[in-house]
Amino acid sequence: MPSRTNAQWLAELRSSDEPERQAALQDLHQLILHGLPYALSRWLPAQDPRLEALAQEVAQDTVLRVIDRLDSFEGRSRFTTWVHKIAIRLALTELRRRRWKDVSLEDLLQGEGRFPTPAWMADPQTGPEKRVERQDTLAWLGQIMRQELTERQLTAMRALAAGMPLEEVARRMDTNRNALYKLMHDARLNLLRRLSREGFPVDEILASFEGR
Amino acid sequence: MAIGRLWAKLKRIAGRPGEMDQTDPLASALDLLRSLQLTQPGELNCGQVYELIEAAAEAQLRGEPVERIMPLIALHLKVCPDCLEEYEALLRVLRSTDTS
Repeated sequence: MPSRTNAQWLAELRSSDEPERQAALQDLHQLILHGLPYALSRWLPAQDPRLEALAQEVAQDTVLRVIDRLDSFEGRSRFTTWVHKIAIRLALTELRRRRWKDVSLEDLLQGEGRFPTPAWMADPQTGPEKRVERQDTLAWLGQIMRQELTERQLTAMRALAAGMPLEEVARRMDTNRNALYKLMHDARLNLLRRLSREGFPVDEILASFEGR
Repeated sequence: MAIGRLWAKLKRIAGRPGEMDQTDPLASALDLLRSLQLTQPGELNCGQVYELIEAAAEAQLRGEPVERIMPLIALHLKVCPDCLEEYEALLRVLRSTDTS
């Protein structure tokens, strides 16, 4: 694949010379296919048969998206880095969707009693006074959360607590990732304000959990 | 998101039945409290971070700490696991391929 500057990529992808444009599109496609196995190595090992199909699908979608958004490239990075970013977003969005497709929020937020006693409660090295203190602090924090946060904030937190990605929680709550992040950010600010009003700096609460 | 993981854990302690408790509530409480320590009024959202993340990744690979040159990006990555996953994936690509 020939090395190109950002300007060359942009010029060739916009070229009215069809062979030149096709060559650039083909190289773009190859660039994406080459990068995705590295990007997705934590999700799909290189030998996983699903990787090839996903990479082909994502590469095709990425090329279309890049062409559609060519004018929005502002040159803050190499053009190819920008392309990889777009491919990664498309690929991870699809992987997250697949992984969580059969899980509803209702399913996710049920199941009390399926899990064992937390390790720290069973740890004989944790003294009884410290265990009680921690339980009291956790109960107090839980109470504050219920008082300070909306049902929507609590639902989102519980889903995130169960490991569902932000994007998937947002989809199920008929919102988007930006709005959900803001919802959680507002929740954190509310909790901080409440802790401040109560006279308990976060640092001090954290310190109360340290040690056994 | 760290703050999110606490809620389900606190349910058992606070006595609301029928809800899930998958991980250690102490660990989750610590996650929550650490995320509160990081919280600032003017945080960037995921979309704003997405617009800058490729520049941040390239800067990091040039040896310029993101915490120093793009502190709001660094902060967001500490509290948003989705964006962190994407950032780390981009770093892996840039480290492993010649993208010029």
